[in-house]
Amino acid sequence: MANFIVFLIAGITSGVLFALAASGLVLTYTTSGIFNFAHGGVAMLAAFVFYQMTQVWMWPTWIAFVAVCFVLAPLFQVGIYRLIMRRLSGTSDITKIVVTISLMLALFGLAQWGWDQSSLHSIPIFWGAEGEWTFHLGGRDIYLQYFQVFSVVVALFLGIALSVLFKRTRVGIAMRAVVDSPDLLKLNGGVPDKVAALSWAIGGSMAAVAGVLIGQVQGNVDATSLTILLITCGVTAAMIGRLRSIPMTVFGGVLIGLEMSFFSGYASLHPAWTSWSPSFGIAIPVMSLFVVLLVLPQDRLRGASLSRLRERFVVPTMKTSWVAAGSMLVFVIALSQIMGSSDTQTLASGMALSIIALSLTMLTGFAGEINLAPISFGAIGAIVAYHHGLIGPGYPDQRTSMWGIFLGIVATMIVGAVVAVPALRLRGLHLALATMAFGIFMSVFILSFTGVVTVPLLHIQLSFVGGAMTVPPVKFFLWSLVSPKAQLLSSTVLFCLLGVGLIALRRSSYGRRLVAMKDSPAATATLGQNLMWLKISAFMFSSALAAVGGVLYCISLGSVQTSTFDILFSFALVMGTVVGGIGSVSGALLGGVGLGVGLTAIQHTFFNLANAHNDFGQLVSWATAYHLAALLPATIGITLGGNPSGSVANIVESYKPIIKDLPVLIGTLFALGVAYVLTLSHVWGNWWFVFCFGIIGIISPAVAGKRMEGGQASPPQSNNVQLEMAVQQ
Amino acid sequence: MTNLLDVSNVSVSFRGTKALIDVSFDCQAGQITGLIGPNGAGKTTMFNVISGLLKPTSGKILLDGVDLSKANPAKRARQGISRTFQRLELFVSLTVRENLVVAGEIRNSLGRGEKFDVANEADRVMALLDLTDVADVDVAALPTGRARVVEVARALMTRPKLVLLDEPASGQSEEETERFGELLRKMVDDSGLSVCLVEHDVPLVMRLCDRIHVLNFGELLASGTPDEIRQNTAVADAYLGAPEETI
Repeated sequence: MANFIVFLIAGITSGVLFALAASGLVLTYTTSGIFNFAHGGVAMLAAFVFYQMTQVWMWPTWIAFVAVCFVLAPLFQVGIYRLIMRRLSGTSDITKIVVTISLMLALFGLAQWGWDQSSLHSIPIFWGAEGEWTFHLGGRDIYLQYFQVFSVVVALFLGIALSVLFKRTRVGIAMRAVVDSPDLLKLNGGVPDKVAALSWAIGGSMAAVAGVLIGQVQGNVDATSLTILLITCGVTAAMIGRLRSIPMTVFGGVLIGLEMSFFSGYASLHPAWTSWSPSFGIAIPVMSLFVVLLVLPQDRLRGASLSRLRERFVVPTMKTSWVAAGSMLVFVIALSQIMGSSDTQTLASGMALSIIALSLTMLTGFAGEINLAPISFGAIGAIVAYHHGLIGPGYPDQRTSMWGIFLGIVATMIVGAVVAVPALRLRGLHLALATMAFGIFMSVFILSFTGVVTVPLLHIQLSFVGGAMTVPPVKFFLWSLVSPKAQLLSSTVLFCLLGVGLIALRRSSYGRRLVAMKDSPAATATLGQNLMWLKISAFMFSSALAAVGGVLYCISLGSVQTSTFDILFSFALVMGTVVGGIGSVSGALLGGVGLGVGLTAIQHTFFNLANAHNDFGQLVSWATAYHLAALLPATIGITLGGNPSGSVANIVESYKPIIKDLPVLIGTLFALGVAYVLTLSHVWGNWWFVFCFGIIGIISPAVAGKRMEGGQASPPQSNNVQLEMAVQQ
Repeated sequence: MTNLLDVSNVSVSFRGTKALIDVSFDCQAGQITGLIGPNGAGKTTMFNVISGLLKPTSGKILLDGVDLSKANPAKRARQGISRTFQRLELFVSLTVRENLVVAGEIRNSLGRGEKFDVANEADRVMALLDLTDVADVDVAALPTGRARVVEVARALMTRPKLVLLDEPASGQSEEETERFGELLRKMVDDSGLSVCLVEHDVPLVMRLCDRIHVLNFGELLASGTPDEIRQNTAVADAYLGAPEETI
C-alpha cells in the first residue's frame, strides 16, 4: 500500500507536467495547424536556460522561473511563429513535419553547444529536498514534497485558465476560429496572425514551465533524454486529447505519468524485471502512443486537402537517369583515386545512408506515406545479417554473406509489412507519429537490451549482445569487399542501380498508382485500386531498401552501438532527404551524403582544428565553428517553408544553362580536369581540389546564366512557360 | 426496364445530425438520373454512400441486383461504379494523360470486362472531351472548369456501368456547359452509359435528365420526370423564393 501511494504521488506529479507540455502542443496545433515537434525542444532548452540562470549566474530562483517561462519562452515562440511557421501554409504534411523537426534538432544542437553534455547539470527542486510533509502509513514514512503540490497546482491553474480562455473570452473564441477559417475571421474584424502568435506565446510558456519542472523531477538536465521524454509523453497525451480537447489531454498526461510510475516502480522491486525497468520508463508512453493512434477513430479517406501543393517534382526520363548514374559513377571513381582511406570510408557511409534515404524517396516521395524512422529499419537489416549471416573463422577474417544480407532484407520487409498495418488506418501526421513511436521503441527498448532477444517462431535474434556489434565487410561471390575503396565503389554502383530502378518504378504503372494514392486515396479507391496491398507493398519495398543501406552503413562504420540508430539520427536523415527533395533520387543522394559526409567531414575538420589551435581558441573559436556546422543542416531544414520542393530542383535549374552553352561547358570540364590532374599528381593537396571544385561550381552557372541573359546562348524554356502556353492554347 | 442502381432506406447521421433520412431511389440503365436539392440536402453524402467512401447508418445499395452495402470503394468500382468529386480529387502530381492512364491501368488489372489498350483509350477519351490540347499538362495547372472535365474523363476510363457526376458543370462557362451537356447526352444514347448527376445548374438538369430525384434536408422530397418535378409545388417551396421557370 505504501509503495502504491509513493508511486501514485510520483506518477501524478510527472503526469500533470506531461499534461502541461501536451496542452501547449494542442494549443499551437489548433491555432496554426502545425504540429510542432520542436515543442519538447523548447521545453528542454528552457530547462537549460533555467539551470544557467540559477546555478551559474546565481539568479534568485523565482526571478529565473518567471524570466524563463513567462518572458523568454513566449518571446522565442512568437519569433518562431513569425519567422518560420507562418510561411508553411500550402505545404504538404511532410514539409511541415520536417521544418519543426529541423527546429528541434537545432534547439538540440544549441543545448549541446551551450552546455557540455558529458557533465551533470542538476537543478534542485523548489523548496529543496527538505520542503515536504511526512505521513505515516503501514509503518512507513511517506513524503509529499511541496514541489509536487506546487507542480499540480501550477498545472491545474494553467489548465483551467486555458479552458476559460478558450470558452469564455473573445481572444479564445478567435483562437478556435483561426483554424476553421482564417479568412472568415479576418472578414469579421479579427486578426488571425496576432491570435495565432498569442497562442504560440502561451504554448511556449506552458512548454517552459513543464521543461523546468520536469528537469527538477529528473534532477539532472540532459538534452537527449529530456527531449525524447517530452516528445513521447507530450505527444502521447496530446493524441489522447486527439489534438482538440484540453481536458482529455490533461487526462492523457496524468495517465501516462501514472503508467510510467507504476510500471517502472513495481518492475524495479521485482528482481527478474530489474534489468528492464529503466527501459519501461520510456517504452510505456511509446507503446501507449502506438495504441492510441490505432484506436483513434479512423479518418475518412480524403484527398490532399489542397488542390495545389507548392511541392513539385519532375520525373526524369530513363535516358537522363542512366546518364546521371553513369556520370556519378565516373565522378566517384575519379574521386576515390585522390581520397585518403578515412575520407573514402566516410563517403562510403554517406552513400550507404543515401541508400537508406532511397527508402524515403519511394515511401514518402512517391507513395506519400511518412516514415520518421528509416534508420530503425536499417538497423533491423544490419542486426539480422550480423546474427545470422556471418561466415569465416572470426575477426578479422569474418565476412557478411550475401545470404545474411538477403535474410536481413526479408526480416526487415516483414517488419515493414507489420508497421504498414497501422498505416492502413493512418495518414500524414498520425502515420509520422506512429513510425516515430516505432523508432523510439526500437532504440530505447529492443536495441538497448544487451541480453539475447529472439523473435519467437522465426528464431531471429534481435539484440546488441554486449552493447555493440561489428559488422564485417561483404563477401560478394568470390570477392571480399574489404578496402574502403571497394566498399565505396560497391555502394555507389548499388545506389546508381537502385536509383535508376526507382525512377523506372516511378514511371511504371505501379509507380503511377503510388503517386495517385498519395494525391488522392479517395479517387484511387473509387477507381477500383485496393489501397491495402498498395500500401503494404510500398512499405515492404522501402524496408528492403533501408535494410540494404543499413547493412552497408554498419559495415562502413565498422563498429556500431545503439546510439548509431538513435531516433534523432533518423530525424536528421529525413530532414536531409526532404531538404534535398523527397520526390527525387538525387534528393536522397544529397540527404544521405550530406548527413554522412558533409556533417562528419565538416565536424571533424573543425574539431581537429579546434584541438590543434587551442591556443587562440579565445579569439577565433574553431569549436564555435564546429557547433555552427552541426547547426547548419537544421538551419537549412527550417528554411524549407520558402522552398518546399527541396534544393535539388533549384540546383538542377541553375546548372541547366551550362549544358546549353557549349563554350562554358567545355571550360568547366577543362578546369575541373586540370584541378583533378594536379591533385592526382600530388602537386597540391585534396583540400585545394575541394576548394577549386567549389569555386568552379559557383562560377560556371553564374557565367552561363549571364551569357544567356546576354542572348549568346539559346535560353532553355522552363516547364512553366511551356505549361502556360499549352493552357492558353 | 431494370433498375441499374437501387438505393433503399439509406440513413446517415454524423454525431446526431441526420444527413440522410431513409432515402430510397433508383437509377435506370441507359439513362441520366438527376439528383438535385438545395445546399446541404445530402447529395454529396449520398454519392459518398453509393461509392463506398461513407458507411451509412442503415440502408442498402444494390447494383444490377448485387448487394454492395458491405463492399469497400474498390470492390464497388470493380462492380462498375465510377465517380467524380465536388471538391476536385485529381492526381495533382500527374499530367492529364497520366491521370487517365492510371485509371485505365487500374481498371485493366481488375479483371472486369475485356482489357483494352490504355494509351489508345486515353487518347480517345481525351479527344471526346476536348482535352487533347492539354494532354501533357500537369492537372494542377488547369483552370477548375477543365479540371472537372478531366475528372469526368478519368471516371470514364474505367468503362463503368454507372458514373456518378458531382457538379461537373460548376466552374465551366455557359458555352462549355452547353457542349458538355450535349456530349453527355450523346454518350448515354450511343454507348449505353448510365449517369447519376448532381448539379446546381437546374436548367441543365431539366434539359438532360430522364428522371429526377429531389432531396431536401436529407429526405427524398420528390421523384419523377423533369416535367413532373417542374410542376411539383413542394419542390418549388424547397427552392425558397425561386420562381417556377428556373426550376
